[in-house]
Amino acid sequence: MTEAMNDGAPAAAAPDPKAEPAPPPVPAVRTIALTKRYGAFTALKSLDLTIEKGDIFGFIGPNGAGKTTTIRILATLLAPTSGQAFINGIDVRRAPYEAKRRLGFMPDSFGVYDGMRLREYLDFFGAAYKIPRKKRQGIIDDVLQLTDLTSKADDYVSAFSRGMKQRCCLAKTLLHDPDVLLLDEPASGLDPRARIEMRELLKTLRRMGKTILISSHILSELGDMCNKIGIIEHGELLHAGPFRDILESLRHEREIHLRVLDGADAALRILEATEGVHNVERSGSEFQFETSLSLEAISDLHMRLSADGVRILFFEEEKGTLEDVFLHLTKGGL
Amino acid sequence: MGRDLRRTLRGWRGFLCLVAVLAACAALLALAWPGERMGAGHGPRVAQGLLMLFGRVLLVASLVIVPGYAAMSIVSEREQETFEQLRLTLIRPYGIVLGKLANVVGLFLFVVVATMPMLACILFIPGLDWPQIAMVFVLVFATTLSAGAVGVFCSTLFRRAFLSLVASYIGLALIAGGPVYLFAVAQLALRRSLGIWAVRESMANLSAVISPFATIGVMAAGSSMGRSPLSAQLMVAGAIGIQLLWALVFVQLAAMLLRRSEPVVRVSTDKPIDDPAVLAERRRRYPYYLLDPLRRKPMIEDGRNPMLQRELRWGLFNRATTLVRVFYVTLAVSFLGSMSALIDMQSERLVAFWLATQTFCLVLVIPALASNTFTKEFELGNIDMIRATLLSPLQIVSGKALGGMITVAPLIVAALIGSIPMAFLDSESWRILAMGGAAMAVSCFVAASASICASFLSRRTFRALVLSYALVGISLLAAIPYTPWLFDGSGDLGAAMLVGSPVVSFLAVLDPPVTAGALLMWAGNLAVYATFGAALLGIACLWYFMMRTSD
Repeated sequence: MTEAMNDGAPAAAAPDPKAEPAPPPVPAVRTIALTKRYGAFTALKSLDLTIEKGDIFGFIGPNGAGKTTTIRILATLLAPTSGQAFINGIDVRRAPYEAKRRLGFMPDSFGVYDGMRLREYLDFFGAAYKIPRKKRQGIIDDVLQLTDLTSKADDYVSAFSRGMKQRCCLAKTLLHDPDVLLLDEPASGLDPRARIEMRELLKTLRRMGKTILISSHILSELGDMCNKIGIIEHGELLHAGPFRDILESLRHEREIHLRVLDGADAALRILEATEGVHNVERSGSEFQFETSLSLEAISDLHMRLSADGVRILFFEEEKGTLEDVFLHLTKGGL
Repeated sequence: MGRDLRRTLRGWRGFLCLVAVLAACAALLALAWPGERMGAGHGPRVAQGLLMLFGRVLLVASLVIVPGYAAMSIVSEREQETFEQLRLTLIRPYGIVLGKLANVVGLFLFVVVATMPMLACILFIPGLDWPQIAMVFVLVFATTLSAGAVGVFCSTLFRRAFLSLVASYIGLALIAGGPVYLFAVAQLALRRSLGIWAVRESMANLSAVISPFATIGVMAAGSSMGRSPLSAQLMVAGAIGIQLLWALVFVQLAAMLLRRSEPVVRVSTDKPIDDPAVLAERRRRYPYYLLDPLRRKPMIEDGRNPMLQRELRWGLFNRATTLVRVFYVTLAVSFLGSMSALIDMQSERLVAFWLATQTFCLVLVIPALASNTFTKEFELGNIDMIRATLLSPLQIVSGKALGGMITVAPLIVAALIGSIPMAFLDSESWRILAMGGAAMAVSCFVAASASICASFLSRRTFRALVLSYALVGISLLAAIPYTPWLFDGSGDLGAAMLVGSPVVSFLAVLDPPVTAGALLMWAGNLAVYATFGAALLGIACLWYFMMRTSD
């Protein structure tokens, strides 16, 4: 269709300097002052959230923080008390069917029908997403292959293990090729192997250009998988953005791990004498210390150690984890 | 028991039961209260009548409330996944069963105690003696125990609350009424073939011992039936003994079931069959299959409602063997009934009577089949995934409603086919059969609509089932003011035809002479009820539209 539209179009010309700048890309997910109240309890307090296309956005927060409420509103299943929510620029309240075409929703808990085989299960949901019958067979084969369930196509869904059911639900979510995936706790209750497989699957989906909003309690895995995170507590978004940026903004002290081959005493002397270096701990030829020095000053410290005859095996900054960020930002309690 | 009783009494259902029983007691006693009409010397008879009415209300309440609670007792532990933890404790199987039973009986005793002020009102009328009052209460207590034991047994036997609930009520109905019904059929046969009439009294005696309602009837009738007070008391004692025996048997069975290890859930690993030769071979081996469960199902066609397709393919036809069994059982019962009913009675009345009986039974069965139409989606946890698809609310509602209707259709078809032998009685029988069939179809439509509506209004099958029966009951209660006409011809025939239930109207229209006006009123009655059924479905749709974006 795009080629047909281009037929007969004028040849590409040099950009007109007077032309208006291209509008900013429409975010894949956006909420504006999204609020949801259940009686006197406010589940979401004026939530503003933006997720760009192609992001894997980790949505984390304690139980009852408002993650599932946000996802259910975005999935058109729940009406907000006030505020707006958009999927690819489409207002989910005003055009729910258009929004549904573009989103895939995987709930945190779901069931399966008794007596239904996997292929039949996917056929039902494919028909429910109005995929024409002729295309449906091929699409089902594709998602089965993607989720590594081809060998189980003729098995009863109700007989699947928890991990298989999660894959099956993900396969169902992918049937209509949605741009945005809303995954509510997709790895909950999975064994380590199933978690790893799920993580790899999500990475594959990201490579396919999908935008993924994923809520989870397994923070270590989100840290590996997500390029952006949002932390929500008591219905308020505390922080959102690239994981590394959040880590940097929160970090006042760096923790450095040093291991030397020779010159451990000299290294200790230099470290203790350097202003901005604290809590130096030595264990044989290994050191651990905290520092408030700038990146340049840290580099200078490294050079000075070498210049004073300390043979360095490694000089490494301890990586911050999502758990550190989460614990730092959230207060806990309900 | 302590935990369960506290939880039950804190909940709204316990309060609702209490209020309902108190309201029913108060209303019926107020209606039956003699006031200034009571003549001198009539006190004892009036007081006895009121006491028996009070006892009957308590019995009805017991048979409605107790099985419902008891049937949920252990199965709900299974559904909430607390059953394994309960089994791991040091409480023995008997302890668990008795604890659950005591909880239900305790709740009902609480209701009974709350009705004491009403009993005190009856005591203002002189003429009652304490042994008589005590017997009523012991009978109610024994019946409560047996009803509770049946419920707890079913709760232990089944894994799904829905099945347990339905089985409890059906089981109790069979225990209380089954032997009486069989005996009645046997008596009819004997009377016809041997001309023996003397068995009538023995049937009444048997009923009095088996059915607690009949027992209260014996107590009320007393010596008027020619029994000595001693024989009446012995009969009541026998009835109490029978109820206690049932309780003991079912407690024992429930404890036995709890003692055995949990059966492993069988998971079918059968693959679908594509080979026509294998399918043909299976067809020879299983001739009673309507559809082979292993035949690969074709993909859902474009333009079809996937929700309806799902209901039909995996709800109805997937359980092909179950469907066929239900169909054949209904057909057999209907056929045997119509054949056995040929023994006696005038042919027109006979056909009408049998169709009315079948309709009554179907109306009782339909809520059990259709009230989980929508609630099962909530209980399985599929509702969010379905709502997130591109299915419109209309597709979801119509798919579910039509699926529910089609689920009950085999029963109606079987009942109608089974009644066909009666059409050959005389030239009029065909007409009566056709009219009765129409009344049956409309009654079942109302029952199915009520059940589907209840299913949409509820999120739990238990609630949907209770609401279904309430809706079905209310829709058929309209006939009650006109029931005297059914028995002795008194009352307003025209009103009975127009607003009575379709079955009442059908029975009324057969009363000679059959005029065009009467037929018109009968048709009007069917139209009113069909509209009522459609309105119930409309309420279900409206409700779904309102709740589709709420939690």
